[in-house]
Amino acid sequence: MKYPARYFDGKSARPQQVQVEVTRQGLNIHLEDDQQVVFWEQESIREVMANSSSVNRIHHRDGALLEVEDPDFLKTIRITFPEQAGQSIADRLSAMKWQTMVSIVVIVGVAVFLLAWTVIPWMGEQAAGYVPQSYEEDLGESIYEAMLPGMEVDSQRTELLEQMVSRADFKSGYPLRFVVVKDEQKNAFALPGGRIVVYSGILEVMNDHAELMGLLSHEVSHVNHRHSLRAIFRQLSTYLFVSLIFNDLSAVSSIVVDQAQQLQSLSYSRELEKEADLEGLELMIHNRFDPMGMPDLFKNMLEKEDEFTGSIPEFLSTHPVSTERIDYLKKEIKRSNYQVADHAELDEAWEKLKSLP
Amino acid sequence: MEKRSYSLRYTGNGGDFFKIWFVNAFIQVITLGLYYPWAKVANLKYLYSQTEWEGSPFQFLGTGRELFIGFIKAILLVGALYGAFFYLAFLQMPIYAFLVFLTGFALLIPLALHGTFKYRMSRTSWRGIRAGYRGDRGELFKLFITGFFLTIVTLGIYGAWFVNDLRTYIIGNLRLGNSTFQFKGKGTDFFLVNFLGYLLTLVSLGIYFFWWQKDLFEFFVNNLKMKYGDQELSFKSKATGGGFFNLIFINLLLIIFTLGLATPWVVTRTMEFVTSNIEPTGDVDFDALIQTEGSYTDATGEDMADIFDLDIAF
Repeated sequence: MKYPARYFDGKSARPQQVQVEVTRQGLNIHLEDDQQVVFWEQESIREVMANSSSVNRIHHRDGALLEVEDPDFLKTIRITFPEQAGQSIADRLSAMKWQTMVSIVVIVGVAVFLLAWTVIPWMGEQAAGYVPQSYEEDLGESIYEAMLPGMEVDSQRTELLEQMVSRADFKSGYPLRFVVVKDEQKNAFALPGGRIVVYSGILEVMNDHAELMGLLSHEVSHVNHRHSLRAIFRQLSTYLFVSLIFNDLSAVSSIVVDQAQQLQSLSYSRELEKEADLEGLELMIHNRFDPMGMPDLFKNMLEKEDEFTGSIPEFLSTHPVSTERIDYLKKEIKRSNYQVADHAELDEAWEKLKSLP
Repeated sequence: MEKRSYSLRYTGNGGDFFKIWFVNAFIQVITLGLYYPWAKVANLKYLYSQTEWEGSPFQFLGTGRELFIGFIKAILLVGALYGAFFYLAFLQMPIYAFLVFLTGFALLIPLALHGTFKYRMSRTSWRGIRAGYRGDRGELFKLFITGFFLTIVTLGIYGAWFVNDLRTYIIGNLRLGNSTFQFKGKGTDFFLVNFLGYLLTLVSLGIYFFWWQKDLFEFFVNNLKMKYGDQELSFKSKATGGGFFNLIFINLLLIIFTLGLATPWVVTRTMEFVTSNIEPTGDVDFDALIQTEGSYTDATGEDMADIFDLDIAF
């Protein structure tokens, strides 16, 4: 069967009326003016531009071009040369019905969304384990330096605090450094690498040294278990993934900066908080401090929250305390075998610290 | 031959283009952008195949593979530049870092321009006849560096002449088979169009902007010529300020209220507007065009232009 066609030979733009014949080996193009036949072998077909409603165009790899209107021709070559005349996945999707297209998009979209909120953050957290400690310390130090201008260090209280912690063993591989900052906020936070910042406001809530040690043990556990790095990596990996998807890598650098600044208000996940609580409790027992200091502190905080509604202690916004949390701490204390030693020096230092104006 | 008019049409429609655009954008998303070269090819193929000159459509011959290889090369080049910048910044040498970065940019942009035109033209064909760009990289470089320098020295005023010189050079080296192109616009006119356009836009609180766009379009189109031996083809703009208002304002609304999903319709409206507002007349016999240009498959420049977000309008 021969199909009428328009033929451009790839040498000039002059159209020629021809007849095309499809064979297993390729296309025979019968030129009308002189009885010549041009042969296109199957492999030399570069592209088939299908258009069922008007002209189908078949491009030869050397530039020549055939225009055939007969829709049967397209069917014939699709069967005869499936490789050349076939469609890519994208072509096939584009040719789909709307309903099929939408359902595929929704299914894959949901899968990608789940990936972004579960697997990716988990991978990020795993990656945090491979960061060398020295880098973690450098990072913490540079964040601390960036924050310093905005903080007023309380050197007297810091000295007393350092004195107190020197009597404790926090089983940390990090160079722990404690600092008290003059600030009304009832808050404290740990930077990666061992810096722990305590706001003077939170000291006012405490009744004895055990509560202070409860707070410090909790924060030290955040440091020991790289919680801030893990939390940053968790969030960062999601951001990175999302910006990769939307091809917007420039956003990533600004997010890194953003994160560094928001480390003060970085909130940990429930599991990380629980881990810090339980590990902190162990440190308390190890040092023979009264482990009840920790749940007592949390209880004080909660009461403060009730007392002045509208001004929640900042510590609570980053370390959400619930009665459930106090309960499991008490339960854990009941289960464990602990001894409380007499810490006369600590009491003395604590009294001094409290009495400072 | 008698002077006559030629037909230039965009035959695509938003719905068809949306399907192609959307499917490709989607695959691009789930492959974390790796599909970008293939997506770009699919879109270009559609746009080219729906643009008809004298009843025959253009064809985009590029492949995703070519653009992908070019993309990797471009990433390495741009990455090296950023690497040098951050390394110098790290060594506390911000001035050198800045200088290296600026010089690198000034060198990479003409490279991207040259590469884009060489690749894009060679991958454009009409009735099986390839287009081509025969510009010389060194010359474009010289033109660019001098113009760049003079623009900085004159606080931007020379920019109009600079851009116009580049345009004149590039268009002067474009070909379709054995026909050539020419751009006759003067830098002074280009400056005046922009200067007056800017001033009047300010004075009229933005309303004149659409007439400024109309003047620019007229400047580009009316100064473009195609030559074939002693035959010539000229173009004339029919666009009006009101037409530009209708195009730009509605496009903006479409983009904003669909969060970008209406992009295919915006492109379609724009293509229709451009093709229907250009009136070509002349005596060029297109049947007589002959294949003269070879294939050029290095897409690095084109990809680099994408990375820099260079808006290269044809």
